[in-house]
Amino acid sequence: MKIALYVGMTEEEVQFSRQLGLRYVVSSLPPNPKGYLELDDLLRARDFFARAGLSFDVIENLPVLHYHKVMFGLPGREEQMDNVCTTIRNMGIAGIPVLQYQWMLLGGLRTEYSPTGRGGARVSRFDWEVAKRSPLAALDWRRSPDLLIHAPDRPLSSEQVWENITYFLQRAVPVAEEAGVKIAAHPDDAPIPSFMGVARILSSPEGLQRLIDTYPSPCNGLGFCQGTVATMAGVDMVEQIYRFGRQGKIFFAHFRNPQGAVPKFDEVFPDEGDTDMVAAVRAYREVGFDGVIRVDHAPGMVDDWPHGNRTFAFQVGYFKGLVDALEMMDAAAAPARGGN
Amino acid sequence: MRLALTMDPLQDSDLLFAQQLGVQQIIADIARWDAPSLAAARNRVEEAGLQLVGIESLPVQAYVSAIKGEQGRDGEIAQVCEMLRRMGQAGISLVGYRWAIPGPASLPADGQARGGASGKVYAKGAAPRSAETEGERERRWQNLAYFLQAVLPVAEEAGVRLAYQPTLAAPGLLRDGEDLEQLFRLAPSSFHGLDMDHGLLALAGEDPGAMIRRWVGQGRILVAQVRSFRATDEGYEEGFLDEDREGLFRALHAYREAGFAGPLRPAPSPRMVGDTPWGHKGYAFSIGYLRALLQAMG
Repeated sequence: MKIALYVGMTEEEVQFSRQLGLRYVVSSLPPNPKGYLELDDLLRARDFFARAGLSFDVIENLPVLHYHKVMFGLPGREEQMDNVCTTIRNMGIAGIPVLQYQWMLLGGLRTEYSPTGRGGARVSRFDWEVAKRSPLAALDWRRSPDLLIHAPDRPLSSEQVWENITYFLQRAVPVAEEAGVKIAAHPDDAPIPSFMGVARILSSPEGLQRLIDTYPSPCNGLGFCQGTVATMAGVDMVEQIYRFGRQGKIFFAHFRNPQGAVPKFDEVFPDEGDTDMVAAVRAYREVGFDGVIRVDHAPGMVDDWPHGNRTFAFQVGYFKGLVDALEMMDAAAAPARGGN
Repeated sequence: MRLALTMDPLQDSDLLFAQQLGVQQIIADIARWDAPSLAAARNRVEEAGLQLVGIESLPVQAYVSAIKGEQGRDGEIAQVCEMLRRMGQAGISLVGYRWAIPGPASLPADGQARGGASGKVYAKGAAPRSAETEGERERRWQNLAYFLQAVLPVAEEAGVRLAYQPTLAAPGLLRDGEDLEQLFRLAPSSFHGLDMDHGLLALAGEDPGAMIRRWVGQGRILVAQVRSFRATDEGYEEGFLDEDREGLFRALHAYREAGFAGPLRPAPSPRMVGDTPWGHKGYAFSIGYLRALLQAMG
């Protein structure tokens, strides 16, 4: 398991990662006016991290502006897909092996960010009732006018959205196979089946399985956001690690441990959420997950730095401690292989 | 075993920080020992909903003559007794003490820790039983015995336990297992014990796990301190907790098995990029790491 933080291209951020003992980074590039990520930019990013001793293994995410017409099934989607394919080919050349993308047409959803956490830490919350009452306030991409134009007047059924993602996969996956890049779909967070009349198709384990089965390929799989899966109503997250991990479909994962599930959940510190995190890490080990797992958003801490160094240092320490403990416990329990 | 942080408790934001990390116990690092300051420290911690388990250590400057066995030590000892009484009155029941005079030659040098973090490097000359003559050694024990005989009855009456703190920061210390056993024999009071540092004992070539089991059973470990050392050509480098994960894991396992119920506190980490002087980033990492190890042990 390769623990990583999301890291921007600054000396301070890479140093922070190195000091925490990390060897991998997850990062992204800004949307490019050309509509695809250019090879030079990818190489520059890769080399910047490599000089600091960090391996840039995951792009999170494919910029939405590069494929929003595909998501919504709008005219111009063919051209956007050409560009997405160029991005994938460039990643292959640059040796960046995983591209995460998401299919949240209306983005991520939260309804509150208040000091209700442990010691007054700021916790983000999703409450479906509140989101129904004030839907616009629940959209976290509302600052992006390009996307807002599609919002309330364009209901999309689940089958329409499946058609759109199927087109995406049919175009992207063959190119990904050729380029040696895995494309990893992030589930819909918050995982509710639809919002403002627009379906959220990756909001259940069945949806994730259908995505995998829609285009069977070693390059088509999941960005397994633990926190999102854990907040799917009635779902045992650890079971899903076994389910998708055994299929080899977890290409990348997010480490997070919320309290509650749809219709209402809070993003608390990882040691106080509902999931047994020891069991989760054990599951990743048992399915042989060897990809990158990124420490995800956590509560906002008192006097923290802009990049959340306090809260992320705590999370990295916690996650590393779980991984280290299980490694050492398993090594101690392994039968002694002495003698001949 | 409960996680604790060592801090100046008069900073409200740091008490919040501790709570956010899920830490309930505070060990106070204070500069003033007058009754109102002690009471204020305790009140501040308790008002924040946390527990003040003790004070990091008696200021060595207050009993230098006692360590040296020089004239003036009785006055110093009277002063220390007064500090203990004030602690008792403020309801603070634990304090560390050292038996070494830190000098410039024994202070750690700056080193490069992981990822360019700035760490401490202790010269190897500061290792156990370095250049110390038999006579010096004997006098050191006599001075310590004199001090404890005077101070411990007061500590008992005040309800304050004294925790000896081994340290690498000065030469000529009692630090290995044999020394510590001798210290316990010298002062068998249940108000006297150890601020246990398994990393230091490992450097002294000891098996910390066995000692933890024995001394927890005897009620000798009042506080457990954890840190990570690495021996290099230059000396002993302090690193991040996970850099000696095996040693740490064995120690925690021993504490757990022996039923240790006291505070477990991480030493400061190497200074991380852009961190505060106290080390918020480093402590956040250490507390997260320790919480996970304890949870994984079940």
